[in-house]
Amino acid sequence: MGEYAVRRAPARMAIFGLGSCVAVFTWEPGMKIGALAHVLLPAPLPDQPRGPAGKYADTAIAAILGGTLEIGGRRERMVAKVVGGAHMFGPSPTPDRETLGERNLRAVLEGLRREGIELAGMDIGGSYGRTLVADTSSGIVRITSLKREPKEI
Amino acid sequence: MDSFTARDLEALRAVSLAGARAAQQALRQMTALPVELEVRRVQPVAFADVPAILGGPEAPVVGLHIKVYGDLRANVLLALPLPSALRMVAALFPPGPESIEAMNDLEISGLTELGNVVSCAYLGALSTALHKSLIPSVPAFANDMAGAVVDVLLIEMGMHGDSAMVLQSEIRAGDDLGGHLLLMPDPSSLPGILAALRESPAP
Repeated sequence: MGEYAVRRAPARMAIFGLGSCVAVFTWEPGMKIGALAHVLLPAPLPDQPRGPAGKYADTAIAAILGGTLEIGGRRERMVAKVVGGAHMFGPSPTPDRETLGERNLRAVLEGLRREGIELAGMDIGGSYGRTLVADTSSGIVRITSLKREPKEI
Repeated sequence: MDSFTARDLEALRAVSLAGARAAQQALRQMTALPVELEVRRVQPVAFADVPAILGGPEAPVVGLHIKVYGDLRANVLLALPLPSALRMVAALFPPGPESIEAMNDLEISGLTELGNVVSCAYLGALSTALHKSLIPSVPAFANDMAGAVVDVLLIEMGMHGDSAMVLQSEIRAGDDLGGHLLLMPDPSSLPGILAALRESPAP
């Protein structure tokens, strides 16, 4: 949780048991570079300790973007896939009150838009946990769950 | 969290023992099962390591989440592997459901009530030991992978750091009944707990 990694193909990257946290996977198909971050929060509070880069939507996106470019990836080729942000406990959320998962999703999607990274797939929301495995060779993300058939985006 | 000395953690462990004893009694009375609650861990744990305590991030569990209000703020999670949860529901409403998914409203309500009673017992003992009010919410129910069940609790604490003070008790009754009771104080409540531990001798 709160971590991120950047890998060249061939490599598989995974996050297990994702609930309200949000996983951001970016893929650069030219150099076949994948990057995955496990985001807990939108942004650090000004007076709080910073913590690892992968923890916050804004720093995570900056870190995976920077990490990809650093090893030769090209920003304009990058695509992103977003997974998670579920609401696990209790009754369905109401429209007037954003859940932690929704708040994280909003921050991640805004961050990707700000950086101009194209969104190529999403598997978000709901009330079930997910495990995702991303393949840096194909850019495909496979999502499994205890409550749903496996899905690929 | 860094200000907790080894002695403070020992005192906190003693308090946790009182909680575990009370919770054990409540669980036995409700289910008539020979359960034991044993205090395991009383220490800071990095968020990334919390799902492993519950059996791993993909381990299927029934989770009952209780928010604690009052002098101290905290989250309590009762995490039961599915066979344990089924056995407890069967003890409350024999013969019990075939699966967790097949539970009816009454059975879900019964399990939620069990979570309520057990956490009330635990928190009551802590409240007495620390001289602080600890008021539990109605439990919320989830059934899914342990990582997914616990991460929303960690997110809340994530605003203040990257580790949680975890008071963990393990539920046991021979080989086939297991589970964990976790109490994680809100980081903002840790100074209050520290002061309470140092004020009075351990029970």
